Amino acid sequence: MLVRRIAMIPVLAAGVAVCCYLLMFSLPGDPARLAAGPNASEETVATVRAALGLDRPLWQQVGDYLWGLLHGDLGISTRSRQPVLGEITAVLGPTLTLALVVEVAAVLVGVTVGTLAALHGGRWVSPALLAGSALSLCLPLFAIGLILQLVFSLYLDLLPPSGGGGLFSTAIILPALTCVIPSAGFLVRFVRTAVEDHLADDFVRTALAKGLTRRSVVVGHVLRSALTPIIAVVSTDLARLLGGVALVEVVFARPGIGKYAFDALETRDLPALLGSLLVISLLVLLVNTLADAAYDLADRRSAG
Amino acid sequence: MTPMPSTNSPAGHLRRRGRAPALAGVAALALLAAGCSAIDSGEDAAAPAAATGDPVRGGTLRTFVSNDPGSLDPALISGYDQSLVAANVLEGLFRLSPDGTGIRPGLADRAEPAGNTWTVTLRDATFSDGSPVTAEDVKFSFDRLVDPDTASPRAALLDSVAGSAEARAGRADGLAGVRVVDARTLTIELSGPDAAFRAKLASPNLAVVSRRATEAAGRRFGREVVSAGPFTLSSWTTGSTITATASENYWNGRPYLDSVEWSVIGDESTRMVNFEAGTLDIAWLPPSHYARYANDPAWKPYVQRADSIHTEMFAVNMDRAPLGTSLPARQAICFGVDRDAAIAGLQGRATRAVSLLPPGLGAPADAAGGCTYDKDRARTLAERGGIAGRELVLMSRSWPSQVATMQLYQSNLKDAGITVKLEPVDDAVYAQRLARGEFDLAWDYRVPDYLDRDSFLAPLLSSSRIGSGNSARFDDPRVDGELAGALRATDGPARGTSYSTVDRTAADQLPYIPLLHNVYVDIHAKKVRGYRYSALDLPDYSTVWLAPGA
Amino acid sequence: MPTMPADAAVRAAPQAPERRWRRRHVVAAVLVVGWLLIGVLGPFLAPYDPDRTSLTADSVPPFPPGPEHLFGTDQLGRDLLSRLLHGLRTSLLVALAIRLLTMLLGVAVGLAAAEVPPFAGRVLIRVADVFLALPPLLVALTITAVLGPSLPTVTLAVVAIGWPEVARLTYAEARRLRATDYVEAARALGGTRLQVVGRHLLPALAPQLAVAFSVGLPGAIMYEAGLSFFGLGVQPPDASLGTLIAEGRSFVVPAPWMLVVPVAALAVVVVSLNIAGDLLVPPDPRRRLRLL
Repeated sequence: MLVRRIAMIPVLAAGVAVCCYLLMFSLPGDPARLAAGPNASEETVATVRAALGLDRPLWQQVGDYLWGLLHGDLGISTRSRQPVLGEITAVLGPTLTLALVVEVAAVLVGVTVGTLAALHGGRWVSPALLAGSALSLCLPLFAIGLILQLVFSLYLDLLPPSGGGGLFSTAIILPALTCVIPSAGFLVRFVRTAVEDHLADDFVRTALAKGLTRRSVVVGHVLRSALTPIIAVVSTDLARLLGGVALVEVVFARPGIGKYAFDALETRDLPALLGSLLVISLLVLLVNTLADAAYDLADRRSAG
Repeated sequence: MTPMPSTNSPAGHLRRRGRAPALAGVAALALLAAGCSAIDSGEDAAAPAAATGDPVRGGTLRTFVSNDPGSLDPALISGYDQSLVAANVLEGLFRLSPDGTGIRPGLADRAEPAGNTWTVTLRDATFSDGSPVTAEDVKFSFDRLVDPDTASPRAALLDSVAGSAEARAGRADGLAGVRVVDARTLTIELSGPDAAFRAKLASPNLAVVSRRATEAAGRRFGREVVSAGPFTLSSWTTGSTITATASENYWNGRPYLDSVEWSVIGDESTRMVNFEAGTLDIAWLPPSHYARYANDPAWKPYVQRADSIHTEMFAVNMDRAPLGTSLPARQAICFGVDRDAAIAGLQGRATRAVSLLPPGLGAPADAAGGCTYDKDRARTLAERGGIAGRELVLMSRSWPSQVATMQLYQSNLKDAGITVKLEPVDDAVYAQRLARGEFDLAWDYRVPDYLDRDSFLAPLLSSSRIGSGNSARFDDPRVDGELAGALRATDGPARGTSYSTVDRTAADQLPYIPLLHNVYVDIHAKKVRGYRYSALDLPDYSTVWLAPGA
Repeated sequence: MPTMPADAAVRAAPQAPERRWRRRHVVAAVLVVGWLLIGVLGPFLAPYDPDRTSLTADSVPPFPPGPEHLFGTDQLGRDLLSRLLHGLRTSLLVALAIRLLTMLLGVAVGLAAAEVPPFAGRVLIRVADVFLALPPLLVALTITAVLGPSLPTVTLAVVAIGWPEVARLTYAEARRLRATDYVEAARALGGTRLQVVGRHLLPALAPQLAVAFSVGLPGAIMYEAGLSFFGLGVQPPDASLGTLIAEGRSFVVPAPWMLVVPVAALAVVVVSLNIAGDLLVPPDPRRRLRLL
């Protein structure tokens, strides 16, 4: 099953490539004119157009691009005139790092809070949690980012307000926190429901009756059943983070593939835009495939 | 859930908004008066406000660019973010003064025109890799700019050099007019008089690069430029930071700073948070934070404002009726917009534009002229011009601060009985439609490519520049004649008269409706000394130093 | 099974006490219809012309909330309450159009995939998968760049990224229903394919499609707000929640109300529509809205 799904990825990726081409070549505006500036004469624009390879017939441009793609060459950025692959590699690193940190933190927070709420939920806990998680989902990310920046950088002077730090840099904490809040808020609801449902299940009652402690039951049986919502949230979230949260990248001045692609669209840097769309889509396909496999595994385990 | 807000714009953060609207204070007026004379004299303007005590060496200045400049290859520099770094890393035969209003010698020890031939003697200078700057390198850099393989957007800067047409077309190997005499001397032969040539030589596009290093670096060159500027590129993290360290052998002495670090921060409020948190030493001061600092006596000395060499205007497509064919209709719009209200909305960070020429480039002395807001007069003119009750489409960029001001003008014009529909479009579409004349009325702005009135007025008004700067498609043989004459004239006052005539003609005919001149405003940390804001918004950090313990 | 697939959820609902089930639906319907009514009628309650500016050389807005302007004004002196009421209408009506078109396209593709030969059906569903793999924000931005900024463009862009999920849902449900006795019976009685789809399959799907429609509403509002934030949706001087937020963003320090008012409005609308969705169908983590 997994093999078949993985075999499907190239087919879907080819579909993605076709869709992107269709979009790209219908973009209005002249990249050469944009690069040359308003004062450039028609000849200058023509020279720039030729240098960018935009004067060739469309089929030839597409053919050359595909040929390059087969050799792992994503073309040359029309903006910086550097190889797109190198630029994407450079901005993909920070995106992957951020995604990793966010997912680990979201799962830790979501599972802990969700389980505690299910186990010790008093009368006020439930509405408070509901309100909290609803709010975390509806506050625009930039608002969360702005508030965190003001509180932690400006008033408390604890963390750097921005920067492109790596895994062990303090600069990653605020952007990660910004993304963790909605993800964790979402996860809390499902973990809590899953845990509550399963505490009432027969097999859990049996286990409790057999004299197992509540804690071991929760950890052993109940959390396992919360696996599916965790996989669901993590996979959709990862897909989103890999697509680049351009907004978070902007507010925290972090390099990332989302902002890179957005800039490419603005400047009509077609090779860069095409390259980043392809890379993002490939990653999302990979994540989705792995998530499907994980569902199967989780279903089988909770069934068995 | 996230609406994807950008920052300063609906595509905002992601958009370069380098140029800030602002207002004319007394200091700014003084600066611009100095600036006018500095254009030809090459003298420095007033001393920096915050320079006290003796300069000290050391430290890193942390500043910003709004987007990764991508490449610092001199031939490819055309964007604002590129120019910001380039001004500190690259060195040409001439350079701009730190305040951006004058031209000073760079690598040229002597550069004198005799007839149409310039003889240039180079200083004893070295590139950042330690090798000497030779006449051979200068010729290489110039030839490279016009080489069609380089595809430089600014190749036209050398159009007045003999042999440029052949070189640009690829029919000649390099510029015939640029000849190496010896290691430190070269001659540049022009095909005709070019009064703006010295200003052109100060352009970052004509920076001198090391031939050996350029050829060795290949495509990586844009990221590893070897020039002879005050600072040397030392690291470049895509989309994040660019660092340049002091060049020990800089011809004008090693800069005080050890290094300059440009962080890529596109969002203006993020920049301000960084500034307040002390992680950024210089930030452009956005209108929303302006009052807080400008009214605080402790910060006031560190807020700098400078009249910019910048004009905002409406371009009228002169080929299209009704606006293009009716002067009263254009006047109706000129009188129908409330510039003073716009300036108030920008917290005074702009001045009224009377004509196209900005103050820093010798605007007319009688600032009383131009269109003063008068909605009754505008209404009468609109009826005469046949635009009352007709819907006009105003194309603009989608930069948010621009769109806000456009809505004010739209509302003003509505009061005068003129219906305007706004059409903000993205930069690529805007550039294309402006060049092709696919609009009736368009918001536009102009900054010079090089510090000369020629760079301001000729692209806007010369009929040979229709579609390549002359977006109004204005065609007047008398103006063409004055512009060509002014470029040939070697006599300063005669040039001035010609440009004034052209400027006045434009103000009478209104192919462009002048709106505002921006005033740039920024703020720097108290420890930053010797820093002055540039009228071209291209700060030079070579004389900046950091006060210890401040 | 720890999770409840969407179909199971709806099938399970009637097993709950009938009256309670009805009440949930009524509350949800009131929430959805209520907001739509506010959207339609809101502009009539606006105290000022939303485009009327008051900025002059002597009087410089933004003005804070007060008796004259309940929610204050923006930087051009336009009444924020009036702009909000007009903006809400734009946002809600666009969201409605987005959901209708998304459902139409998604259901059409889903049903087609279920009814054509299995191989062709799988191909159609793979096409949906391709769209699901594309980063939604970038695709929407690119589409609006292609078609030019306007409300119809934004609607199309959001439909383009939303339909695959509806198509997959419809496909799964239609295949399940096809296997049920009464659809087989209808087919055996000689109904043509279209007749079976029209008379039996669609009516059987209708309740779930209605649910899917409402569940997607808050997401559509967020998307419209997001794209308008980039200046790609409604064109100035008209407003929507997204453009109001975008305008308020840069004035957060001197005029916080310019940001707080539209963000609060957005949060209230989205939360209440989310609650309506949750009342109709228990939330399913696998069907989480794809965020921008």
